[in-house]
Amino acid sequence: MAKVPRSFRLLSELEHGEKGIGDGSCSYGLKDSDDIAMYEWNGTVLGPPHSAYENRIFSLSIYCGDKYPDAPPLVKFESRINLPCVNQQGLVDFARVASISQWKREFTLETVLVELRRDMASPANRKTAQPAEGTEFPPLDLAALAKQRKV
Amino acid sequence: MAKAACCDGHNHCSATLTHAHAHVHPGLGLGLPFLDLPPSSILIPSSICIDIRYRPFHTFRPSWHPSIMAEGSSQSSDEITITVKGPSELKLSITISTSKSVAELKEVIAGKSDVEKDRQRLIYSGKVLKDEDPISQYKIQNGHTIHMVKGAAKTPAAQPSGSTPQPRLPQMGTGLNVAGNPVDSVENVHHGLAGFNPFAGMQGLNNLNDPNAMASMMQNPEFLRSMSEMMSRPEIIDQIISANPQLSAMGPQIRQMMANPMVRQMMSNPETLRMVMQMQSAMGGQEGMGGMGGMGGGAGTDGQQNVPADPFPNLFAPQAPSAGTGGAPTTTGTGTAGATGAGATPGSPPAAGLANPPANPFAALFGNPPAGGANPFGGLDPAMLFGGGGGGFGGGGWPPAPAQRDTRPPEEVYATQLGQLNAMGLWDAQKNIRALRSTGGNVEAAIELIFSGQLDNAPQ
Repeated sequence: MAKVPRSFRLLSELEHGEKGIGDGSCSYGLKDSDDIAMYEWNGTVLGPPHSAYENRIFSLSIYCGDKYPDAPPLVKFESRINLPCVNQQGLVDFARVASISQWKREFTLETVLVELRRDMASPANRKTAQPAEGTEFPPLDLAALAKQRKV
Repeated sequence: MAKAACCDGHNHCSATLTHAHAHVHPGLGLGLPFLDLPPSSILIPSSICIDIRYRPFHTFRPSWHPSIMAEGSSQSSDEITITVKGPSELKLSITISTSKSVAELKEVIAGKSDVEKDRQRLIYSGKVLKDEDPISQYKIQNGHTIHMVKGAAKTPAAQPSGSTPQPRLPQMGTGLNVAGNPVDSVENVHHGLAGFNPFAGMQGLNNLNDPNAMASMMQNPEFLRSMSEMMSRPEIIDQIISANPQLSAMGPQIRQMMANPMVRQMMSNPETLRMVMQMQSAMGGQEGMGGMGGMGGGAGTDGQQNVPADPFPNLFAPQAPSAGTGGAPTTTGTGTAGATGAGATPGSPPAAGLANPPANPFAALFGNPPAGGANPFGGLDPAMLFGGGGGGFGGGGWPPAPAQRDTRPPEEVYATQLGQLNAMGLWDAQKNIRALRSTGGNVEAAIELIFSGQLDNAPQ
């Protein structure tokens, strides 16, 4: 089967996101809907119920580089969160999220968000104390970082 | 040719924008026709021109095309129709002017749903909509979907009292009806679903003696939360203490102890509570459960028999007006408790709000017959619980649970089944879990249940 190029793939994801996925526990869309190259995205993850994350909406920034979906996007939490796979800057270390540590082309932004949410709900992380609601990680230039990491 | 295709796309889009959006299949969004093209004609990601031209028609975005942008703004007003998806399969279609603010949109939603404005949180395309912003700022297109999430209640008491319909109050005495959480509200299921309901046939006091019913309540996170909420509120503690002569005789120490996070955690710790449950069932004692009978007031013999020993029923009595608030104290003669019960009703509405059914098993836990010897559950007698001076709980006081109950949240327990349901397009997690619970995790039965529509009737 032919490879779906980046732009089609992202368009399809965009459309899916705008329709509203499922019950709204994960949501994403273009940061600027006029961004034709579709690099910068926003995402939200609803804290899973019965966990320390419950009743919070976590905002994320996602950067889909030129190599996406062959390479994973850069994902950064804007809302502060205490999660092993998230570093001090808020960046998600894919290697530490077991289910997506081996990136596959089929993975989508939704996959990433859903898996992050699952990671929050995992027994190991479910009860981790969380920073005060409303606090944020310092801003980060994902575009520059993407260049640097060549994704 | 490509240009023509583009124009077709545009006509199609502008003529039946809503229509097109309503029918888009996510899977088809990839644009299967393009797969026939030679790779060289596709892989030009940076070329804007090509990018637009080959865009599947239904994803064509008017805002990306200058001519359409102009046309779009002239032909239609700034009104858009959006879908708002909320908890429990709430789905609203709302037409609103994009010049209105998000706050105004929330008001409209509040008018069409039972979620008040302040508790709404709207999410669109990965953004949380801010009240003060105009809708236009988020560039929401006609036919798009916004998710509405219920935020945390402003006060702990607001949630249960706000979301529990009035007619249900008298039923609270059953102890099974856990307010605020339809998931475990076995009673809801009970009415229409005898076939599916493992608890079918249990009503009223029978429930109280059924360890399963208690266990399911113990697994109910809502209950556990209100439990811990309750324990963290000084006024509740005060009530508890003053309602119980044994406790109040212990003076200020007891308050300190109750305020102690360790103790609080213990009392609101699902593990601990479950352990207690298991101990009880392991010992075959139904006696301890009887304490809950006091709750109902009109509970009859069972209730009366236990009330004298039960320091708590009056805390909860105000919640069940039809059950006869005064009944328990007069028949039993526990004067202090009666006074508290009466005072609590008008005096402290928030406290009354909290002291509703979720707190009910509390009574059972503590409301044991004083005869410690006959009571397999004596370890939980309040005097012992809080006794021993400032020492608090002796670590050895809690024998290990005979068997580990599943303490995981339902999402985790039913992860596989939920995945299957999701794959079938059943997205309402709450409903799915409710169905799975009622069917003991049987996916097929759960699906049948969901499609039967019987869950829809359950109050939220």
